[in-house]
Amino acid sequence: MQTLVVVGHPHLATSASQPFFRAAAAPLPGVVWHPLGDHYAAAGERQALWAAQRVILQFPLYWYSMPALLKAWLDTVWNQQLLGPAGDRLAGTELGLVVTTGRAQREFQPGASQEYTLAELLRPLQALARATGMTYLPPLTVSQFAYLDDQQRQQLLIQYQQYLTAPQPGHLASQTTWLAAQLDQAATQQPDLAPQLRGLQALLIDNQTALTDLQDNLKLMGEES
Amino acid sequence: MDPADLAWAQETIAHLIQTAPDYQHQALYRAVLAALKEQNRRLLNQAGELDGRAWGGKRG
Repeated sequence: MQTLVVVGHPHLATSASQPFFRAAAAPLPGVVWHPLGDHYAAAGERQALWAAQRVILQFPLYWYSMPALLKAWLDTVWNQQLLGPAGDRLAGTELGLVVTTGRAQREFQPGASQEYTLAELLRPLQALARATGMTYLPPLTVSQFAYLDDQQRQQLLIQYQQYLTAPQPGHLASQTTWLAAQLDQAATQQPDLAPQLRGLQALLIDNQTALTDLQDNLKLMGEES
Repeated sequence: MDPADLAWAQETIAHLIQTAPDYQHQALYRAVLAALKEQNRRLLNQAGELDGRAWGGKRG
């Protein structure tokens, strides 16, 4: 799978989170890191979009929306030339959002300081996905990156990598498959640790099989009752 | 999930994190432990639900 990460950050050089994401994406095969500048060739941008099976729009939330840099790119590149005469050239491509906020997640809810949820604020991009036939992925929102401790950053690192490359990111079964593949790779890289790593891999897979069996049984019982 | 398996995984992962060659591997091992714990939680919940449904109305 090819994933195109379109980074719409107007101050990349001073961003704390974007170098972290860039380093997280670097070892992943099939991931194209694409920071937007002021100048780009629309034709090349369209080629990159057509080649991707997953497109990620990654940006900081500015005044409850995307930065002007990203909006200008959308307005320039996303047109009939991109979508084709039938408007379906991106149909089936996944659209994911990685959104960073300076405010805490809990502030984005009714009755809190920001009143609206991030899901509500990101609705225009969900509408874009719907209009173009793309599959909208649940957004990955990262709040107050600067305050994350080391363990939280490590958790985010894996979550982000899964968001870019795992089928159905966020689903436990998909996460398990992804982690098992990573353990397999680690075992190949570190043969002295292979017994432990393969043991963990087997445990993950066995548990997932047991969960699937239980879910099947529960479903059967539900059908019988 | 057998509690002994979870204990083994926790011990193994603690050792792996200490000796991990880099940040990426540390993050991976922590994520594996988190996934195992989540699987364990769901296994317990679903086994309990299955048991409850199987015995529904038949106890007492």
